[in-house]
Amino acid sequence: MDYDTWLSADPFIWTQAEKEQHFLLWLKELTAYHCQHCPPYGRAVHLLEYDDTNVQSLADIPMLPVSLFKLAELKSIAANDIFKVLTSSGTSGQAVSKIILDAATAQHQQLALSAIVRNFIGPARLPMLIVDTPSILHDRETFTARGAAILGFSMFARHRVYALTEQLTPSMAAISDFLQRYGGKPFIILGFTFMIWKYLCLALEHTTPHLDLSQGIVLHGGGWKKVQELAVSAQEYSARLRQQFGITRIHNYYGMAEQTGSIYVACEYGHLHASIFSDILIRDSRNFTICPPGKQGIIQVLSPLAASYPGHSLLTEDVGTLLGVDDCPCGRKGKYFSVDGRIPAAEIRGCSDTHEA
Amino acid sequence: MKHDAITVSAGTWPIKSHILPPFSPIVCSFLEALAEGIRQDPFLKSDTACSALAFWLRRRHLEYFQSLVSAAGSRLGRGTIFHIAPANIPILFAYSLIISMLAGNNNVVRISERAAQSVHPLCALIDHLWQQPRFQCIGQGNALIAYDRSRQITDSLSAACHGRIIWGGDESIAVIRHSPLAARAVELAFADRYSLALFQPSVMTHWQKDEWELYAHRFYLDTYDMDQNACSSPKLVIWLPHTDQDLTTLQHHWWDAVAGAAKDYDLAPIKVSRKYTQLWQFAVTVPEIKSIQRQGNDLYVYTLSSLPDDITRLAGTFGQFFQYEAQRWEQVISILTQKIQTVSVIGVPAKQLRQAIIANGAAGCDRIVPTGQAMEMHIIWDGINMIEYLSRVIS
Repeated sequence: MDYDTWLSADPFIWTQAEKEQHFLLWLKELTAYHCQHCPPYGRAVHLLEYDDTNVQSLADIPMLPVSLFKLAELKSIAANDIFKVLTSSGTSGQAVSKIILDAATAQHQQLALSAIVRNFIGPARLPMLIVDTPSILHDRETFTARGAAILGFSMFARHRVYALTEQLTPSMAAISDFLQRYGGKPFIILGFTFMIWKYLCLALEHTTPHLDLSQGIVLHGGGWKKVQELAVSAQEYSARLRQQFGITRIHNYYGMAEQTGSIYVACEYGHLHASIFSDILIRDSRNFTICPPGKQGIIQVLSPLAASYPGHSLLTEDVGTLLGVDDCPCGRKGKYFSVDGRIPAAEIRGCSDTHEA
Repeated sequence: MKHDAITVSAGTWPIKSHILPPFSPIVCSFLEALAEGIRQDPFLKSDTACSALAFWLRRRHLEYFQSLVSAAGSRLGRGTIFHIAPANIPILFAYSLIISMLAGNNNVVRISERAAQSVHPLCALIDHLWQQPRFQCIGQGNALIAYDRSRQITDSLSAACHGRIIWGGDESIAVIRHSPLAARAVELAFADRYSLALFQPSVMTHWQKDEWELYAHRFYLDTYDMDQNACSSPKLVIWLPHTDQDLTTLQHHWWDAVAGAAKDYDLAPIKVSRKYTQLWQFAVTVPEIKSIQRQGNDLYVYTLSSLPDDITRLAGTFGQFFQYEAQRWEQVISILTQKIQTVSVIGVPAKQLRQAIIANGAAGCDRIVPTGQAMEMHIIWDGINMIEYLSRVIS
């Protein structure tokens, strides 16, 4: 497959039909490649009776459950080709996902991320106000998905300023200084969804006059568990940022360490878009049939970027809804969808793991 | 003894001791009233676990239990039993309490915070009955309590009781054992176990459609009904050697019938997510798997070419089964290690299996039941007659 042309293309140029035509071929190739180079993956795919010749559509590509990266080390490269190991705690907060990257995969993922984000914020590197504490990057113990997200996005920043103190209170001096210097022109406000809500919106609720962040472009995502605890709808969230700070450009993003780079960013209509670097399928949980638009199901993510590890087709632990294909009023082609949260953890019966002493 | 952190959902705290002989009339009439109360309450009646409890409490069944207790006329309860009930099978607290009451004891039952909400209606009924004047004496001698993780409370309850019953995983048991018992106190620890099913295929060759459905439904009750998470739910099916017909055909027939029985199973998305992850985990980590058959996400069946050294690793949930065709009868006995609790059978006489276990001195298997009864609570549990154990004989 020709990565170079692909990686330099407009990330929302392909219609769904065009994307599927390319992806079907590439993902079949990748499945065969990983079967050969990652023996545990190959064994599982074989046991699941996958047959290359029966693949009619993207839905027929085997999908690996995303948690498997917490339970087994899966890679399709030799040990001395390892460039970077990404870790992510995921939901449970216990086991850690290990994603093994070689230099080429890491670079391709960066390029994809760059192309996607620039499509929303423009080509220039902008000053960035990070709604987090500076120690998020320094403290090795707490280096988490939050830190990783900040690092990943920092390539779009000209100057980085942290908006919160160590105690997670707004750092008014730092914010004022930032606004004085950069507040008159577009800048980025980056943070976890719940952090922006809790430590900016709620913390500054009674501070008058309200800060003028009207030139800010908000990029927010992640931290599902805490977002669900907030019980704030996407509409309320945006309305609040507009009222309180005058912010009009608000982009939610959805992504995961297991498919870094190919993130999904919400357009001005609030729709998350799949770029040419990845695609999504919504699966009915009972039998994994594909849900039609409007029907909620488990999100599967597919990306040909995952070359050094068998993560090109993953069943996530998130639920979402396909909203439409090729016809978002924002003009971006391909699928657009909503993420509705984590799969709800229902009560599960059983007699082990019973007692909290 | 004062504990601010203890909340009492039924009975009296602190309790007032009334030690009774086993199967005392007042306890039996309370249990009768409890069963009746469940049947009268539309909510409890519709709850499968509660209505099963009411059925379990029928008079004939209790009389049968009584017949299993030796020297019944010379026994008295030990005193106060402290129960630590499990979270994931909420109803089990009631069986633990009832069996100990039948032995003649006073009881302090710690209900897990996680289970508290789901058992609240049943606790409310128990409390309502205990407050009636006719059951005053048991109401004063028993308490259903809850408390946050607190070593201090577990310590003092353990030190004060005459017996302790722990339902839990091996780790939980180890943690609770940090709280010492009095020198003469006894303990029952029901740890993690593993259970399997043993099928004689030759009986299936004569089955009609009704029988396939009946046995598959019974198997469903043993497994899916508790998300296959209970210690006594079979996770591995051993097929005895079969000579006169192709076993694979019979196996397909069996699993088709099981999938049919499971079609109304509440397969919530979270269960699918965990089940599908386990599917891949097994595929990647169990080299003995020869093939995998799936019926949607309702049923996953793993066929083994040989048995791993530790079969307890073969533990799927939400409708996942390993199957293996035994070469010889002796091979079956050899896998009955200490971890094995229940063997549920189709077409295998319990007597024959029991004698083989005894003759070979097998370390495990405490219980042989016909398929369909794996989940049924019994006063003999993990090889121990609980009523005898929780009472003393005055010789």
